[in-house]
Amino acid sequence: MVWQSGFAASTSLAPSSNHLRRAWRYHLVMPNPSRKSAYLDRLSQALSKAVDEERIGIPRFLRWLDRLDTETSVNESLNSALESCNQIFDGEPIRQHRSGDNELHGTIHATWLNGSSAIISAGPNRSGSGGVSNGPEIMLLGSSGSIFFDGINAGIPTVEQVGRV
Amino acid sequence: MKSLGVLCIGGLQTHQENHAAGFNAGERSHIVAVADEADIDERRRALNIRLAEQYDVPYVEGIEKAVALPGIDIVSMCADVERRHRVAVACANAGKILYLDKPLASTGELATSIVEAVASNDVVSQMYSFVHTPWAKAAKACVDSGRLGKLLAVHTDILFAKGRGGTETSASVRQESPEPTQFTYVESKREFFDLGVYPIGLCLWLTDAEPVEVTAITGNYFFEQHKRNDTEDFGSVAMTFAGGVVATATGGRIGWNSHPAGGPHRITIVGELGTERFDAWEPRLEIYSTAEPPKLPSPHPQDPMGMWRSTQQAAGIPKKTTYVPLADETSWYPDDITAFLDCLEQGRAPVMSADRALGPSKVISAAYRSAATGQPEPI
Repeated sequence: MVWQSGFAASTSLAPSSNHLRRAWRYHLVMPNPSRKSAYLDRLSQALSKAVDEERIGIPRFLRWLDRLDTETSVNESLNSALESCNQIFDGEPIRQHRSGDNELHGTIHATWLNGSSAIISAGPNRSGSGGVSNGPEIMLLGSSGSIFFDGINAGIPTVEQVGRV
Repeated sequence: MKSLGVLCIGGLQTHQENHAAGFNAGERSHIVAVADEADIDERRRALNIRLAEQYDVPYVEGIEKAVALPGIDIVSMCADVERRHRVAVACANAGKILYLDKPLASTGELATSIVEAVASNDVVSQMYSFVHTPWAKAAKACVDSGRLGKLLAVHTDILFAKGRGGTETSASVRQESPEPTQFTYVESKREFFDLGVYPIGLCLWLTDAEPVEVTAITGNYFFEQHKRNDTEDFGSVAMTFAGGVVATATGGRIGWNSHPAGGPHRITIVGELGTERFDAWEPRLEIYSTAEPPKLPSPHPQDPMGMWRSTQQAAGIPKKTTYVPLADETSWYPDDITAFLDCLEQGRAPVMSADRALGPSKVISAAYRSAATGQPEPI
C-alpha cells in the first residue's frame, strides 16, 4: 500500500482563460505523444474539450477502466490514464493510493486539490478477443452532466489508421 | 404456505412504500399493521399513518405493543436509520422474521448489535439489496463459473440519476466526518451511506469475502441541498482483500439529467483471463425521435431529490424514454421480496442475511474514517 502525496503547486498558477489553460496543460502535463497511441490522444483531447466547453459543469469524478492487451503493462496504462485525469482536473493529485499486483491488474484511487477524484483501473482484456486492447471505458461525472465512453462497445478504434491531426 | 402477516415499521417517504407494496402483492403475505416508536416527530408519525390508511390497517405506537399484535410473522423494517438498530433488535428479541431496509444501521458497531440479536434469537433475516437483480446474478454466475480464471478485481458503480443536479458549483472542498451521526434530512441524505451500500454489498458478495483495508473519498459534487446539510452526495471506496483481490465501488446521486435512465448501475469483473461487465441497462434499445424529451418538473417540496415513489408520482416526474432495456428496473423490489418469501417457504437462508449485510456496514464506517483522514483505514 502506498499513499503518494504531492502538492499540485502549479494549480494556483493556472491562467484563467481556457486557451491559456490548455496551453499550460500541454506543457506541464501532456505526455510525450510518441508514448501514447493516437487513439488515447484523441480520447483525452475529446474529454478535455468537452470539459473546457463546460458541457458537464465542473468535472468531479472520473472512473477509468482499461482493458489491456498482452503488450501493455499495467503501470503504463495507469500512468497514461493519470495523465489524462491531470488534464481534466488541472494538476496532479494530492493523494493517490495504488493497489493490485501491477502485473495483471492495478488500481489508483486519487484525489485532487479541488476535491475531485478518480478511480483508475487496468486489467486483462476479455478472453477470446485475441488479447487485443479495446482501450478504456470512461465515466466522467460533472456538477451538471456526465460523459460516458463505452470502450469495448464503442466500435473499432480506426483513428490509428487515419493518423494524427 | 399460509399467508404470513407483515408489520411495517415506517411509512410513506421511506422504502416501506416499495416493501409494503411487495408484501401486499401476492398470496404468501399480507400487511397486518403499520407501527413505529411512540416518541417520533409529528412529520414521521403523519407519514406512517398515511401508509396505514393506504392499506386499511391499524397504526400502532410503540414497538413492544406492535410486535405483540396477533398474526405478526414478519417485520418489514424501515425505521429511520439513526434508530433502526434498536427497533430491529427489539423485533428480533420478539422472535420476528426480519426484512430489513439498507443499510442495517448507522455504524458497523450498531449493525453488529442487530446481527447478534438475530443470531441469539435464531430468526431469519434479509436486507434489501441488488443481489437478486438479473445483472448482478449474471455477474455472480461469471465469478462462480471460473471462466475468467482467478478473480483479480471487482468494480461496481451504483449511482442514482435523480434530483436536479448542477446546483453545487462552489470551489470549497468538503471535510468529511470520521463518525457521522445524522444521515437523514427531508431534502437530502448521506448518499454514499445510503446508496454506497448497494455496490459495496455487491463487491463483498461477488468476492465472497470482507476486505482488510479501505480508502475512500466523499464529496459534495452535484447538489446544494447536500452541501447545505453537510451530507455527501457522492463517495468512492477502494477495498483490498487478503490474497490481493481489489474491489472498488462508487455510490451517490448525480442528477436526473446526467444519465438517460436511472443512473449508472454496472459491475465489472476482472479475472486473470479477461474482463466482463454487467450493466443494468444492457442490452437495450435506444430510441431517438422528434417527440419532446421528458423534462424534470418542479421539485416536490417534501422530496426535491425525487427519492420516494409517492412524491415522484405527486410531482409528476416522467419516465425517461431514450433507453429501453430488455430487463428494466421495475421488478427489482418485487424480486427481492419474492426471493425472501421463497427462502421462508423452502427453509433456505437468504443470500443477503443480516450476517452478510454486516460487511457493507463495516466497510462504510471504515470508509468515512478514511475519507476524513485521507489515509487507508483497516476494517
